Formats: sequence, structure tokens, C-alpha cells
Amino acid sequence: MMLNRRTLLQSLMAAAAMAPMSSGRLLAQGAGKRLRIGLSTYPAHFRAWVNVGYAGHLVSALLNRGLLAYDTNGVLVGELAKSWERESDLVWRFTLDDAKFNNGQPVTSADVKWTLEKIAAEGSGAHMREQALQIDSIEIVDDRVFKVATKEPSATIPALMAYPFLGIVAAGSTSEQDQGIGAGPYVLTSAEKGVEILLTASEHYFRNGLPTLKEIHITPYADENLRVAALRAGDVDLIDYVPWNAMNDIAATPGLKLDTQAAGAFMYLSFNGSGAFGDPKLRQAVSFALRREEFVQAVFFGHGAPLAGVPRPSVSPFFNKELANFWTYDPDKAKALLKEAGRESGLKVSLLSTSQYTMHRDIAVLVQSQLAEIGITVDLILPDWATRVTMGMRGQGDFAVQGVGMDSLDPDATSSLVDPTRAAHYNYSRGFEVPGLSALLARGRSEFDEAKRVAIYAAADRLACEHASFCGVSYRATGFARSDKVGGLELLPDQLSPFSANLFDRLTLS
Amino acid sequence: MAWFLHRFLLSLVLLWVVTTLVFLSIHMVPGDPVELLLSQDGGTPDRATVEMIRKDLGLDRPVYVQYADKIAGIARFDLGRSIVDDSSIAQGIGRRLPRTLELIAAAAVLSLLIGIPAGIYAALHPGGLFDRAGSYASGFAQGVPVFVVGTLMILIFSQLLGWMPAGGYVAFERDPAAHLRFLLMPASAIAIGLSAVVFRITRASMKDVLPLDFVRTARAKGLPEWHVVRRHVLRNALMPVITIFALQLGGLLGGTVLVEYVFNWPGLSGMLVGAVNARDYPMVTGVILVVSALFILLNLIVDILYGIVDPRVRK
Repeated sequence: MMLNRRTLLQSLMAAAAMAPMSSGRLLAQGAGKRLRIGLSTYPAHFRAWVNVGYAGHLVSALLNRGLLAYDTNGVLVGELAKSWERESDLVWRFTLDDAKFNNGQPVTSADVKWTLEKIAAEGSGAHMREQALQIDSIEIVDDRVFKVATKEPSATIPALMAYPFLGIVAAGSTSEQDQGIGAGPYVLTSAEKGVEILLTASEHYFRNGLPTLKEIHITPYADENLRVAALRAGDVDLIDYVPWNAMNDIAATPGLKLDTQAAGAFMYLSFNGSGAFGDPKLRQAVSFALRREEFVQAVFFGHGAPLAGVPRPSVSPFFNKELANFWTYDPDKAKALLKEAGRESGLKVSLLSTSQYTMHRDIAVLVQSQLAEIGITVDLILPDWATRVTMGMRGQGDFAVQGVGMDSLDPDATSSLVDPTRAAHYNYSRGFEVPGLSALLARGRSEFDEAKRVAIYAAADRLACEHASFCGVSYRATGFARSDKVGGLELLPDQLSPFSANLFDRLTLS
Repeated sequence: MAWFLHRFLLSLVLLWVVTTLVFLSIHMVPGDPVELLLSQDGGTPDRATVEMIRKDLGLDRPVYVQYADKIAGIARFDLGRSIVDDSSIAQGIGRRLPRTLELIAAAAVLSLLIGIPAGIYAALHPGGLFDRAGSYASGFAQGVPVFVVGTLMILIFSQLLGWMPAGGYVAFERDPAAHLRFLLMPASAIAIGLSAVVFRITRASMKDVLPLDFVRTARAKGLPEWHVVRRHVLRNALMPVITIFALQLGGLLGGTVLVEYVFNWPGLSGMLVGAVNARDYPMVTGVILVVSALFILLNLIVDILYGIVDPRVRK
């Protein structure tokens, strides 16, 4: 073909026409040092201290810092507080680091006092309000030192200060903007509901040299398949809430990395004691009748682990191997328990779950089929999520499928899960009592000696398992998938792993 | 004028009926917005906090009081605020609606560009290869669900070929080229089904008109064939096309949910689904009210178009 003026012009015009249609990868390359995150859900709001789910925590962790945090080994370390110590059974003393809020104003004891008092205030909606209510007063010693006095001796105060949503914000700043002014590595530059969130690095972040990345652009992708497709297409660099059916493919794809913890959040059954499950033998029968490995394989594509006891992270001194595997599959024992309960002729119960989330629905279906093998007939109730929450709050259903994660490694964090007298909430068992359990848990909270605490919580876990105050089903792997250009990603251990965005200040992009 | 006034008043009554039905039905469906708001991923709000926030939001009042409040607000053109994040509903709709309309408009243009010429050609060459292939293809295009088309497009054009981004949105004013790139796939996914409808209706309508006397007369007068087709056949054949097309577009106003979801296009439908899931009562009522108003407006426009295309309607 001869190259003349006409063919040259035609070629240039064709190239120009094609340019806008070129790949997202080209767009991606032009993005420079901006990290692009594909998020599973746009946070319902940015209000400080309210639990807005794991996706909401990711944003919150980039904007805020707490006094303490967990490291990758599950050890409590200082964040805005550089040290803390117990002064007496009722008083904890904290010393703040030389940290500043995003507006350059120093983080002072007065800000911490204001934050904790706002959290404990009636109607705050704060996730950790119940735990904060154990604080009696906060005494400001000076700008950097303050004391927390509790109503009762409490060993859980340091863990409370490391709660994922307990960000310290500048006093009075929530009246100007919902999220307040935090001391996190990034500042909220702009946000459009359901579309995008743009964060820029804070000039005043207290860790020298961090954050490495100057900007983070967050795009919500509600459809998990599209979120994975966006990562594969190079539209985003990192995604959260990786769907289990895509994990193997992502791990095998050159250029992509998968970071997960198998024992992340977990699924379990809660019991309603106002019906048949007021009888502990029937709860035990259910607990021994489940083949938990099948749940891991069928619902989570093998990415998880059986949960056959009280969830305790393997790095925790409170982990007990025997109790962690308490409910082994034993259909004969389950049938014997049914017989002891006078139900050898059969039992009919209703299971509340939801059709909106496949993992909840699929677990309900599997529970139904496995319990049928020992003579328990299960009627499934599968409304949408909102209806399911309301039905759970009203105490409907004999038992229910639940999914949750732990937001603290302190053993007290499982109290609401194992003790049905703690909270009449849709998430937990209710309507019955495990004799002696509440007293044991209260002792555990007020005991400061770690060895004694280990013994107390082992006894409490045994009681919970023997009475089947809840029924563990399986852990589900949680984590992130990323382009191999994203470096520095570390995960918090086990059940804390969904809150790993606390470590995102050190992410890099090559 | 009297006819127009009558139609306008009827539209207002229709809007009131829709608003009332939506308000009552969303309040009858179980689910508490405050419990949902505070219970994400294991959040366990105490009863007192839930009640306090319900009171703050006015959700503790009797439903008829909330309804009267809603109607009074609408009469003042005030759609209220979201009970989830306290954002202005009117502003939210103002941002989202143009994106849905843009998506529908782009799909409409694409489908008309494909469907009408193809329909005309098939009608002028009945039984030919194009006619038969077009009929099969349009049947297939109408039968395949839009989310299947969308997912296949993402697989092929984004993941395998790497030509297009998987989905998302960039504002036109920020980057026009990227905006069009994000628009192309969702608009095409809708256009595939829509163009099949346009093709079939155009073809059928043209075949109905072609044998009529006035067409034979026009040809007998010696008018050029294209002139006969364009001025006489097509103009008369377009009436059912406009009717069906307008109904399809009206349906798309609330029916782009799947496309918006599959391609992460932040339009009005996605906003509505999110609001229903969160039981954000004022948001649900506001969005449906706006969609209904547009649907009614669209029907009014169709009536006017009828008058333009066929002057007999005006009599």
C-alpha cells in the first residue's frame, strides 16, 4: 500500500477515533501513584464510631486512628497513645504520642475525653457504647496524659481502646462534618454516594514517612463478580471482600495476589430459648449433627475452616485446641440427645435466614438437609435481609443463621455470642440461661492476671460448648485481592483480618 | 386546551395515587431502618438507642401523620431527606436521574439507528436472507436477559480483549472520553434488546402499509421509490413504532436496575434498590414519585407526537 496524504490522514483519524475506546488498562497506567480500591459497599454514612460494616471500616481506618491497635501478631500496640498502664484496679493511665489531627491541631487528652464521652452518651449509636459504659470518669492530667476510671475493675479497657471504630476525633468536630476530624493517614477530599470516595494523604500524620501513597480513589462495586472483573481488567488495584468462588482463579492469575485468613469472620447458629431449643439437649443435638467441613467446601469453596467451638484466634493465649474442636460430628450422640429430650419420634423447628445473601441461604439449606438425617425437620424462613433483621429482633424463628466477625482479640469479645442473657439482639441466642456462665464472664472481665483469665475463659468456653448456647458452623476466609504492583499489604490475625485496613498506611504502589 | 388541562389534572391524580400506594406499601413491608442502620456486621445497638433515633427521625409517629407530612412536603416540592445519611433526596435524584436518562437516551439512539433501517430493509425485501437472519437474530436478542448480555460483554470486551473497563462511571466534565467509554457497554447491552423490538415493529408495520392503495397511487404517479418509502410508507408505519418505543423507554426508567448493577452505573435504579434494602422510606417514595412523573410526562409527549405524525389525531 502506498503511503500518501489521504491514507495518512485516514490512519490518523482512525487512530484518534479509537483512542477514547482504548482499554481501561491504559487509563489505569495514567493514574500514577493513586491507589484505586474496588470496595464491596459504599458506606451507609460517615458518622464517627457507628459500625458501618467491614467496607465502611476500610474508609474509617484511612481517616481515623485509635489510641491502641493490634499488630499482625495480635498484640496490642500503641497508636495515638504511646504507652498505657494500670494504676490501680479501677484506674488506667494513658500517655499520648506527639500526634496531630488532619487539620494540624495536636491530639490532646481533652479530645480523647470528648470522644469517649460522646461514645458513651445516650443515643450515640456507637458500636462500642456498651463497653464504654463501664468508664466512670476521665481525668485529664495534662495535654498528653489522662486517666480512665472504671466503675468496676476491668481488664478490657486496653482492648476497648483498640476497637476498630473507636477513632479519636477532634473535640466538637462532628458538629461540622459527620465523620469529624480524625488523625488518620488520609483526609476525605470528596465523596459522592454510591459513586466514589477520594482521599488525599494527610500532611500531619503522626508516623514519619507515611502514608506512602498520595491519593486513594475508592469505587464501590456492589456486584462481587464485577469487582473481580474490575481487578482483572486493571480498573482497580485492590479489592475487598473477595468472593470465595473467585479465590482460586485470582491466586493462579499472574499479576494478581490474594491475601486471606482462613479463620476470618464466621458463621454460626443462634438459638431461641422460647421454643424447643430452651432444652439444652436439643441444642447439643444440633451441634453434634453438623458435618462442618461440608459447609466449608459447599458454601465457601474450601476457603474457610470448620468452627466447632468458641471462636478464638490461634495466636491468642486463650486458644484451647480441645475446646476449639468440641462439637465433632457424632450423629449417634445427636440421636441419643434427641431421645433423652423425649423427641425420638422427631422434632419440627423453623430456621430463620435470608435469601438475599447466598452464604446465609446456602448454610440454611445445608443445615436443613443434615438435621433431617437425625430426624429434625427444619422449615426455612428466607425473607430479604431487612425483614430477617426485624424478625430476628422480634425473636421469631426457633434458630437462625448468623454471620459475624470479632472486633477484638480480648476473650471478653465473645461474651455476647456465648451468653444469651447479655443482649436480646437478632445476632445472638436468647431466651435461656447457661447456669454460671454470666458470673464466670464477669470474673474474667475483672481479672487482671492473664494466667487466671485463661483458666476462667477456658471454663466459660466449656460451659458454652456443653450447653450449646450457640452452634459454630464455619469460619469463612476473608481478605483482599490486589495487583502485584501493590505492596506492603499485611493482614491482622484470624477473626480480626476484616479490619486489616488499619495497616493500609504502609501500602505501596510500584 | 380543555383536553390538555383534563390530561394534566388526571396526571396529578395518578401521581397522588402512586405516592400513596408506594408510601403505604413500603411502610407495610417488615424491616426497621434504624435497626438496619445500626446492626451492620454484628453491630448490636441497645433498644433505647434504636428508639431514640426512631424518635429523632419521626418514625415513632403514627403512619397517617407521617403520610400527611409526606404529602405536605411534596406539595411544597420538598422530597425530604434520607433517613440513612440525612442527605437531600432531591439533590440525590438530581445527580442520579440524568445518568439514567443518559443511559436510556444512548440506548434509544443506538437501537433506533440499528432497528429502523434494518426493519425497513427487511420489509422491503421480505423473505430474503437479511429478513430471515434479522428475524432470528431479533428473537434471540429479545429472549436473552440483559444481565446475561452485560456479563458476556464484560467477559469479552473487558477481560478477554481488554478493550473496555469492566464497569463504573466518570463524570463527563472530568473526562469526556472516559465517560463515553464507561457508557458504551451498558448502553449497548440495553440497545441490543431494544433494537430487536424496534426492528420487529418497524418491519411488521412497514409490511402492513406497503400494500395499501395510497402507496400504489404514489408509485403510479412516478415518485421515486425512496421518496415513496420515506414520505408515505415510513411516516404512516411509524405510529406503532413510536407507541411501543415510548412504552419501552418508560419501562426502562425504572427497569435499568440490572444494567446499572452489572456495569456499576450509578443511576436512579441502583439508588432505588439501595433505598428499598435500607428501608429508607422517604428516599423510596421520592424516587418512585419522580419516575412516575417522568413516565406520565413521557406518555404526554407520545400523545403530542401522535398529533405531529398523524394530523387526524388532533381533530
